[in-house]
Amino acid sequence: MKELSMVTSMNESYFLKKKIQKVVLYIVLSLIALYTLAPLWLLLVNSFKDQAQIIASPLGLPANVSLAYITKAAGEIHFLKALLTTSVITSLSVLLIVVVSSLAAWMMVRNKGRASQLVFMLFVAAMLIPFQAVMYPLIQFFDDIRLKSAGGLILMYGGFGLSMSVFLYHGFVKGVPKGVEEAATIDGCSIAQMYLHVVMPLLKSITVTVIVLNSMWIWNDYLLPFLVIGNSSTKTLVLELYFARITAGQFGNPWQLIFPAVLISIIPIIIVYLFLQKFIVKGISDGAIKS
Amino acid sequence: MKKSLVVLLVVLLALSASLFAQGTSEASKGYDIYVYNSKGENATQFAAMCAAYEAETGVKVKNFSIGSGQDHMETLRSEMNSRNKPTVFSIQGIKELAEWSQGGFALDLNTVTTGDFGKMVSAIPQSLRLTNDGKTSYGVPYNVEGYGYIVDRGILAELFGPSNVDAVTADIKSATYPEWEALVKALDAWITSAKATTVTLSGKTYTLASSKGSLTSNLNGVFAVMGAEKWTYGDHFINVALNAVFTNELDANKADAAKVQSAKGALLAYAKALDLKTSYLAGLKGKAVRGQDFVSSANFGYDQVVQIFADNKAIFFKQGNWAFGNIAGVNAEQAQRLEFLPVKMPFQNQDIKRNDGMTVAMLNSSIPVFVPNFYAVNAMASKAEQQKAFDFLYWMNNSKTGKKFITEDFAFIPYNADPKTTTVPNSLGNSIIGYIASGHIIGAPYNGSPASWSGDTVGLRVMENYLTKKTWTNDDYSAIADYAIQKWIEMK
Amino acid sequence: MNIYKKWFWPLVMPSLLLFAMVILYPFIMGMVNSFLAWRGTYYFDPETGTRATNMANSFVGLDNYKEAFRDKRFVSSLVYTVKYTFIAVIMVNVAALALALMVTKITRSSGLYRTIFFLPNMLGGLALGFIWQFIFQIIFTDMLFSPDALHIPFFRYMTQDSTKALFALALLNTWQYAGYMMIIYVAGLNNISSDYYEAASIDGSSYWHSFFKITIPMLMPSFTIVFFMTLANSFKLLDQNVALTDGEFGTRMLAMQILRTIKDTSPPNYGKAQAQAVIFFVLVAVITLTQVAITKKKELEM
Repeated sequence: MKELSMVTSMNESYFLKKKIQKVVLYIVLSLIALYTLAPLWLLLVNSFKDQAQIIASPLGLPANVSLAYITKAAGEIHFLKALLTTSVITSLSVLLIVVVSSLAAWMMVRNKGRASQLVFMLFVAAMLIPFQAVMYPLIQFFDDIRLKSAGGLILMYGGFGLSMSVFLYHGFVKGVPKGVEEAATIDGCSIAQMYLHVVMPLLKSITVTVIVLNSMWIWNDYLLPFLVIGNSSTKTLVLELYFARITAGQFGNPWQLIFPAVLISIIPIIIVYLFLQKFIVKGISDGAIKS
Repeated sequence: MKKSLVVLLVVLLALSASLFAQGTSEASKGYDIYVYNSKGENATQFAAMCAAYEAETGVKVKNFSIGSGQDHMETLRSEMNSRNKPTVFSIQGIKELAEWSQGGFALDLNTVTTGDFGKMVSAIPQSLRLTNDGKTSYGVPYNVEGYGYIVDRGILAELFGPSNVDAVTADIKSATYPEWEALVKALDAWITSAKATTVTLSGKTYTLASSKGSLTSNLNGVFAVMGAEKWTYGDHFINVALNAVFTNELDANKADAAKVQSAKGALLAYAKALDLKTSYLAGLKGKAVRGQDFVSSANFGYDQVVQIFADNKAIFFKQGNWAFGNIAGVNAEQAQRLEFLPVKMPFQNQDIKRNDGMTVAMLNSSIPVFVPNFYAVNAMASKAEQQKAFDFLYWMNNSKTGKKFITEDFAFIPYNADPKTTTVPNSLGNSIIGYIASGHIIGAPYNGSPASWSGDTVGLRVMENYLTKKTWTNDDYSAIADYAIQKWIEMK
Repeated sequence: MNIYKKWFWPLVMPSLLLFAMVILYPFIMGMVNSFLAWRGTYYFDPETGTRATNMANSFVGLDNYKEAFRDKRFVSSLVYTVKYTFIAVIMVNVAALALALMVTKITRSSGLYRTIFFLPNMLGGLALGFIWQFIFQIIFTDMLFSPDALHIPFFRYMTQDSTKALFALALLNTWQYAGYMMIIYVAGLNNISSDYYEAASIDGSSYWHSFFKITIPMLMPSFTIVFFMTLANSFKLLDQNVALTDGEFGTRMLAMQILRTIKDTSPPNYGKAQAQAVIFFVLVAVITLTQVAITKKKELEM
């Protein structure tokens, strides 16, 4: 677009018009940004209020800022322990997804055979299967093979995350020239060395995307851990949140607990996002372009 | 860089090994019996009770607690599908029983005739049994619960004078529907402008205070109603009317089309009583009316309406003793002064279709008291494990420690409580015990209606079409009753 | 190259194994169950009226499928889902494309805006529905669009009307996913060589003219992927449906209908729920594959 303005006539009214356009653009964008952030604002302000205040004035600023509700919520959901559990489950699941799907996608792109295409179609088609269609047989099967546990949960996430990740890697690998790998084989590189030293470094940005996209849903997932590990002593953040909510009463919602608890449970993932967002954006765009 | 990567991988592998190990250790049963409890609110106390049982008897109890509601059945099914099935599990009424008895999971406790547990089971009153044919008995009741119009005695003291509270409460309980209707209208007028008007209750005349007091000055309506919670009027309110027709859950469950059609009169009374109740509404910010705001969960959801009542903005609030904790959470002082009043409906004598002596006066002076949940024993468990389950259930309901947990820690009203000697640390619970003592209790036949008929069908219809409508006509009453009957027959 | 051929199966195998365990086998079992009188924890024998002693006795043929299509709630949720998907796909795409066009126009703090727009993707779960209920029921109804303010009746009581709720759900969904889809469009836009625009402007072409003649055609690959994702997401929508209206006022969608089928009867009819899930899968597959085929064809035509 910049070049576009260079080549067009450069008179003053043109620049004035451009300037006004820019200002309008910024105003519009800022309004949309406010709209985007408003719901998060609700979450934030209501984390410092008691139940009565939340019901009476859900939008208002808290009467006085005290960390009491946040501290209480953190205690009730065993924040640190749950954070550790969730982190371990999430990172192991994501590690599994990354390794398995990158290997598969890499091989599928490099082998153009019918089998490879078929396997790829299988993965893509699986993206369309609703969770409800597999839920019960899945849990039953994992129980039969003695894997209805946190470990089994990781395998399940591995399976559910596979489709999208293979899809993303597949699109990305297609854009990576074969030449480097060929050179490496000539140098006598083994397949493992090739994967670790040649392929993976080239897939860095899409790997970040795969990591982030999968972490996001695994971190926030509720139904699967609920059915698999339920009310055991090791619970994920979302499960802790759920059980804290039901022990507070059969009906109604203890918002003075829910809001701060939700707030602290999403803070870690938001921090990670803010640090990695450049990679995320790049990863998603690369994944989209090349698939 | 490489080294740290290796270290990281080793750590992750060790962690995952521990996660998998957890699963396998669970497989080699680390317990004697497994109790599945679907009253998530008492999870902590329930676990403490199991620990106490282990300390006393050496029997290791694995316990799992979960909240009632949508997910409880899903989880229980998933547990029933697993290798380690619960030995003791929960069944919430006759609707859930259908599946567990057909599937062969629930043990008919009437087959147990020996020992302490056999005696305990045969002593469960017929009206509190979980049965699908009147002969079987599939569960030990958790407790009993009840509901009605909750009223703050502090408000009654300001309205009728502190010395009249007991008398006025007793007279509202036994008042007729026309007297109740007149009272509601008088109270509504009084809230608008306080004047010393008179009302007649059970034939006696009372004078309302000439000015507002510290509590009554907050009032803006007569009733606090959860317009957005369809189970409150779809399940519980309609249940009062069903009591005019059906003796109990089983009676409702077995009813044929003709019997359901005979409920027309009772259901008309339901619609009229609901019209009265929703015509004098209190809101968060002033008097409220039926309309779109009234069914919005941001204004008239559970929490908002508890808030309305606990802020003394309404006089009557139809809810159960389970709401005690919610009310106490907002207004602990008020929670100590609560009492139940019966839900009244304009029944005619011919609306009563029962032949066990039920009368209009009795219906209008009683509150529903029922068993929300039962402990069932898994028929698939080994005989030895079943015996351990019997011992556990007996201990829980008869030993000193077990009974202490039930009344003090769970704040339950025991199903086998002696109403003369039992008290619970909860004003609403004690009010129910009072009704049990005087015999003014009715049942929960709505539990015997077809699955999802009450709240999800009739309640939904009322919410979508009527609670949003300013005035109701006789045609509307009729339409509500007809729809309820038609759907019952259709869904059966 | 031989090395790839040699390693194809060994390296693809882990993913296939995982896939078979977690998705394929349970899915096939689910298909089988859709032809049986499955009750979730046992198989029912229609002949004896009790628990079936083996699965074969529980075979009911196409009964579950027939019952599903006879169920008014299933049919109406199907129609509603299709309507919703239509609206949501348009709204998310228009919003995402507009955002993409705007953020690529500006130079300063473009990154900041992108970060903000993407943020809602990070959230899920419990609080979301409540927050949005507040927005629709209080902020929209009593504040922004009340008779005292902007007074647009359409935006009031959005969650209490079947048609309005379609838009309420679509608004929520747009809020959540527009940022993500925006990034894909930005990538697509950046991929268009500026030569095209230069040539067009030399020809005296207007902004909108080049938008329709250059931008849209060149963005076809992005459309393919964004359409695929939004279509699948909208069709499978569940959490937001439950949280915002819980299916009241005729707003029940397919995923929720499947989930609630088991609550409609006692004992629960899992076989029928599973039959609906199979129909659902076939529909999603047909629609998305057709869409991909069409947009791919368009891409090739360009």
